[in-house]
Amino acid sequence: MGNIIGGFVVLIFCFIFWIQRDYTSDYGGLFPDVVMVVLAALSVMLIARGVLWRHESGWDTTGRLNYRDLGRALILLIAWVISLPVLGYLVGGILFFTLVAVMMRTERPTLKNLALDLGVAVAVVGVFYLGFTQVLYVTLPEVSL
Amino acid sequence: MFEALGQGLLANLAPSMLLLVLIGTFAGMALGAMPGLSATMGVALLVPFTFAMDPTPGLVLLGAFYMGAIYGGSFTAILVNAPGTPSSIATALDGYPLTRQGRSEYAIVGATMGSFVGGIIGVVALIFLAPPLASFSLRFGPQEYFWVAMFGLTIIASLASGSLLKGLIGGLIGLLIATIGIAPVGGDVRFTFGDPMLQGGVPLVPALIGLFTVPEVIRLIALRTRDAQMVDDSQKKASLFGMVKDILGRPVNLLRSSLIGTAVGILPGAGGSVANLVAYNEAKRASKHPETFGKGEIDGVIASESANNGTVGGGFIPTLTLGVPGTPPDAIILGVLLLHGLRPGAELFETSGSLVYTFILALAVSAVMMVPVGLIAGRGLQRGVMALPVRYLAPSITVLSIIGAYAIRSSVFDVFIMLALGIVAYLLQRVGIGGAAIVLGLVLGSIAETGLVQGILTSSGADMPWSTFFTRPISLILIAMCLISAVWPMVQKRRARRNLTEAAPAVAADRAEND
Amino acid sequence: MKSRRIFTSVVGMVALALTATGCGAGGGAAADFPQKRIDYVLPFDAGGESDITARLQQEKLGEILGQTVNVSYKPGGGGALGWSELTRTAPDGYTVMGSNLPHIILQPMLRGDAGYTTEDLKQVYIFQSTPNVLLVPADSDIQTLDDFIAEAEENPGAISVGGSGDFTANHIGTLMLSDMAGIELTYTPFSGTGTAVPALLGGHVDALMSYTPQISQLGDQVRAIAVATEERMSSFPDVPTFAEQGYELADGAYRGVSVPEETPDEIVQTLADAFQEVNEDPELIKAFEEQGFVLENYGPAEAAALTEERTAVYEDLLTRLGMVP
Repeated sequence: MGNIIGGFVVLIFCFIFWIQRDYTSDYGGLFPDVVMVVLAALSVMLIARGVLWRHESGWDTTGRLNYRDLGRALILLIAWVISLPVLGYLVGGILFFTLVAVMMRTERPTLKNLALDLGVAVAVVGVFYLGFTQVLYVTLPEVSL
Repeated sequence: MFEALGQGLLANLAPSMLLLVLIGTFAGMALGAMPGLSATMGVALLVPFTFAMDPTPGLVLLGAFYMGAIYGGSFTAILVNAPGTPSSIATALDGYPLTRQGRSEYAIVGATMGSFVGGIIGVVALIFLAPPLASFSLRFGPQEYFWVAMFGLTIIASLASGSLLKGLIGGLIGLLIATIGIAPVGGDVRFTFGDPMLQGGVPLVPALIGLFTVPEVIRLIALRTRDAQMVDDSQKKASLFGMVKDILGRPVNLLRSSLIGTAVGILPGAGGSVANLVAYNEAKRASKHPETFGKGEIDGVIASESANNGTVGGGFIPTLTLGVPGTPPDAIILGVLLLHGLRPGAELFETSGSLVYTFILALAVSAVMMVPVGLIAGRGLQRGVMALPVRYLAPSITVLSIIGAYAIRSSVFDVFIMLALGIVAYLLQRVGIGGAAIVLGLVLGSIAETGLVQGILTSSGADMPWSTFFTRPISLILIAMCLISAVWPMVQKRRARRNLTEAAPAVAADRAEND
Repeated sequence: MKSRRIFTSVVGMVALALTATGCGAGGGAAADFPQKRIDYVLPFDAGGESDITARLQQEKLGEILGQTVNVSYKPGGGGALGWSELTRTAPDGYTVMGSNLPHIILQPMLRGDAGYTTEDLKQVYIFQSTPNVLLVPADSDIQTLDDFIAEAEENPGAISVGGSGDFTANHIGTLMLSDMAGIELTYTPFSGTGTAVPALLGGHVDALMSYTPQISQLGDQVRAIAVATEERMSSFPDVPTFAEQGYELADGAYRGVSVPEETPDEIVQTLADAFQEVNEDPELIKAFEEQGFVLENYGPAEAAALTEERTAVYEDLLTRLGMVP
């Protein structure tokens, strides 16, 4: 199954690029067209392989997670990054750093644990923030509510 | 020349100069260890400070900083799987697995000694072989760059641990992503999904962090503390001296990788991002146990780091002899040379010999200083990271990733790209399409396309522009190298299988006797 | 107790960050501009000619304006990414971005959607230019512009001319030359001058349309057969102009800075005065000359006039060549 699903995903990926084809210069399309055609051919081969060799699962076992754990990790990361333009680097960083640290505890967090995690979050995020904005003059996203 | 060389050596031994090199090397390392802050940006930040200095110390400071910054990139690649620049991609491939086995100290020592040897060999080539190497590099035209990129892509054959088919698919996905944005030749706006922000294409550093680091962060956060142990301290602690000796006991790998780095570094535009991958591939091919690569093989780390520090000396060869910067930081240093009225070319070595050799030798001194500085500061950093509980390490890596993706062009959009690619990479990994092959395609895509289209355009006077890709002598050599590199892993695999089948009856025979 | 203290300090820090950003936005009155750090953003990679120029100006600008000036980068799309970002930046004068002609004219003209239009950018000052120059390798048979054109007439399309990128001054210069001389040339764009030069030295292209700093930088490895200025340049008295060889070609790249279009005029003028003062600094003039740059002094109005004039020239040429979509 892994091979069939993987093959179809890549084929869809190719299709998304293919429908955007719109070249104005003589050779602007040469390279991407070749890549798309070969990629599509290879993904068809992968699908064929999945159909012909049913015994090969096609799934890779490294880094396998159950859906609940994976979902929670993804929601945290996506929320962190999406809130960046609103919460800014500093506030968002401290908030989500603490959330991640608390949720990664396996035992029920006590108030003391919570404070400790928050402290570490403030320290780590704050040090990077000050280092970049004050020493290296690299601006970071700021709060804008 | 030897007189100027001697003057340069004497100048470098002055305590004030040694201190300057030490400061430059250390500052460069610290900055290079931050993902998103490239050696180029660091050197540019430093330029205004050098205006206040005399030309010689100013250039020495910049050179030492550059050397240190290239080396510093290995720390994040090894410790948190975040190659901050394309020149340490291959370092992450084996460095991070070593970290997960609790052997990060070994990897750091390997990277340090590799960088040291690479740096020195690059400088030696710069001193003794600069003019002939520079004129040889000019024979590389668009067609040759195309084949260099193809050669880089053959590494997929040896990267793909599982299926070759899936490795190729990964590489082509990378090539296709690389075509997003404005075409390198012709200026077409392609595949932007209607968003002008994508005109600039998918930026490399956010993509690297996304494809390598984000899947690891997802894994760490999802597993919580239960089994997300970063460190397996069961490994017996080896002494520092033993580790250094062990790494210096691999002279062939050190030498080969450094020479590859120097040679590739001479080619403007290909430089560091290709050198480390090629050296890694060659180390794997030459190895007696290629199957250990990608699973924590110190030879992989050594190869990558020797090669990328070799590019420093190599890159200065065209910079100083032709006035053509070999790498982006070289371009800044070239600008500073010109500001001081120093014009590159053969006469530079004659008229300002003492300054030039002081600068070149300072690069070597910087490479030497990397050893104590790296072994102390680098191992300190490694201990610090390893002492951090995973529940703090995972969000810390996320914080660093966000800054790294953002800082390269101060854009939140790049952070989105990083996360999106990271999630896609995690899912593709599940069906066996690895992130490393995608990265390879992404890095080499524009080199390949530029070479292809430029080759056709520049040979438009020929009857069949296509044929020039197969008739030029250096192209032919590169094609042969591509073929060997593509076929070799299969030969190696078959040989290993034959050994296995030969060994199996022998074992059976043994058992029969014991019975 | 301990936890409460940490909590208070967090709240304090957040509050501090909020007020800091809030305050910054408030102080936009034109009279007392500037009140805080100014960001000088380059829409190109670090290490290019724009970068070297900005680094030279940085300290002087800071002294004149009384605030620190910070140089940063926003590369991509040949500059388009930075310029489209500039149109979305607050028009308070605290973000100035490097802007080049003809890039900001040609990108919106020739790309379907560049993310900005030429009029979205208010040019504050144009401080330097690098004229085009046509270079051939020193060992080439081509000695003069006439040789070059004769060779191109013999083999239409076979002569390849390298240059820095698409829709740049090098590109348009090559198009203008082939248009004026009625010849057919194949233009090959490279990613910047840095990669175009070895292609010329290695003989992979027949000629290079490049910028004047390359004449001194490459020395006797190349021969400059024509420079696109009105009169011969004082630093290169031996290099003839296109005009004296019969082709009225005077063009090149102009470097300056821009702010968003809605920025108040007083702020634009303050910035323009500062850049003008920097341009009068003898040390900087010397450094510019050593790099082979030509000093220019176009204030906001003059820059707009120049842009308008060049736009008309380019539009006419490119429409005739059928390149305008």
